[in-house]
Amino acid sequence: MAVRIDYGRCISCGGCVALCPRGALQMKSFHLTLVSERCNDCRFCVNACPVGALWPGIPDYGEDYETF
Amino acid sequence: MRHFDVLVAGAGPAGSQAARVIAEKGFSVALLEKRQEVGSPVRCAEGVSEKWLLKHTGVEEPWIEAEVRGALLRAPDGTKAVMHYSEKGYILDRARFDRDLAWKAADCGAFLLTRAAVTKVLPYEEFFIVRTDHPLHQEIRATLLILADGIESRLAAQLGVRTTLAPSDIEMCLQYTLEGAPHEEGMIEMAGGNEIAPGGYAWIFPKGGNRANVGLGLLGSRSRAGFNARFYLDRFVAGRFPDASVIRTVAGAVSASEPLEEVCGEGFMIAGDAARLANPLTGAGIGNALESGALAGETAVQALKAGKRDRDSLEPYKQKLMRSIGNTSKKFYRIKEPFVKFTDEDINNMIRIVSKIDPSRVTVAGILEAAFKENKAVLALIRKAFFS
Repeated sequence: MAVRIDYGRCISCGGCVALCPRGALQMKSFHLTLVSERCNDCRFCVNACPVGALWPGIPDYGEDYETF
Repeated sequence: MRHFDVLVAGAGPAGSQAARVIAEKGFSVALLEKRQEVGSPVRCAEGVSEKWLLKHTGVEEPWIEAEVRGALLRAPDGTKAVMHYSEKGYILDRARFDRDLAWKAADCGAFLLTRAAVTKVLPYEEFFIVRTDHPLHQEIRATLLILADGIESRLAAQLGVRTTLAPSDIEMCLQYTLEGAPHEEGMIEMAGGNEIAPGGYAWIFPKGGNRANVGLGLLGSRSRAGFNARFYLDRFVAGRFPDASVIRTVAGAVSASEPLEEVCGEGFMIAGDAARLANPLTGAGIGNALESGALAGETAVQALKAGKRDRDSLEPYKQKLMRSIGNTSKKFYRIKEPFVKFTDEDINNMIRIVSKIDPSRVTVAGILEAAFKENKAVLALIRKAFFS
């Protein structure tokens, strides 16, 4: 699971990048990028984002997803 | 591949100041900025004390949007206290200010490159190989490196310096520049309270006429999805300036931590927000950035003259920095901890006590002492921080 970025809301302030304990969020020029393999869904960034542009990851139900 | 004596990453106040100091002494320096125009978009509330400008850049007419003589502190219950500054403050046009500082550095001989974000720094024998996303200068060599790449700095991490901030050590800020927002002229206003900005404060900085920077910062650990900076700011603005129009939105994060322990290393120095130099209590960072940039520049010049680049020859930067701003910053950090835990009642009491003091005699230390008069345990902590 990895957080999701809502680019419609992101204002590239860089706060989440400074917060991310695993360096999963990076700012390329003014474009926020996520290295999803590094994200452990700690949600520091989700809570702190000043504009609500970060969302928690969707749980991975695997192959059983269809049955839900 | 071009080779420079020094490469400065980031053309904010810290980077531009460092580049200018180095270029003035005749060494080759590259100043790289990721924005396509230096200074814009702005990420700042734009307040600075006159003493820093006089020390480093002088004061130029076009930079100044308003002069500030004092601060108005507002408690959640409406109690007000006035504080007159001993030195003048300015609200800057940061876009113009940053641009002029970078252009001055270029004028002194620095090689300014915009729209060039540094993506990777690789230590290599006696120099660094710096990769950028600029199409013409994808690789640059530099003997020394000054990292002034701001709050989201990841370059220091590439060199093994731990820069991650805990959620309790960062203020998430959002600011609107409002037109049609009547406010007290010549005064900045700061409003506290857990309903207004948990673990932070809201500010109103005059920008001349009816224009003002209205913003707030809240502690990263007190922000929740849905109850974030935008939620609190929208509520604050709707309450205070229902008819104002938002002419600019500025977002940014400010570190509220101690300065980095490792501000220098083998061949590199870290300056400005990247070194977590903003004041942990007030969030003021322009002056500290200018100071750290100038010190980094001077140290680089000394090291280049001696032909050295090892850690020991850059160590004077750390010592000077600690002496001029680092120690003050550490004191403020120690008192930040109890401050962010204040209840609304604590803030009301604090401002009531301050409002009884003569405004010209109110200082930050005085406010803090008054603030903690009721709470003896915290007072002891403040005493230790400030007066030991």
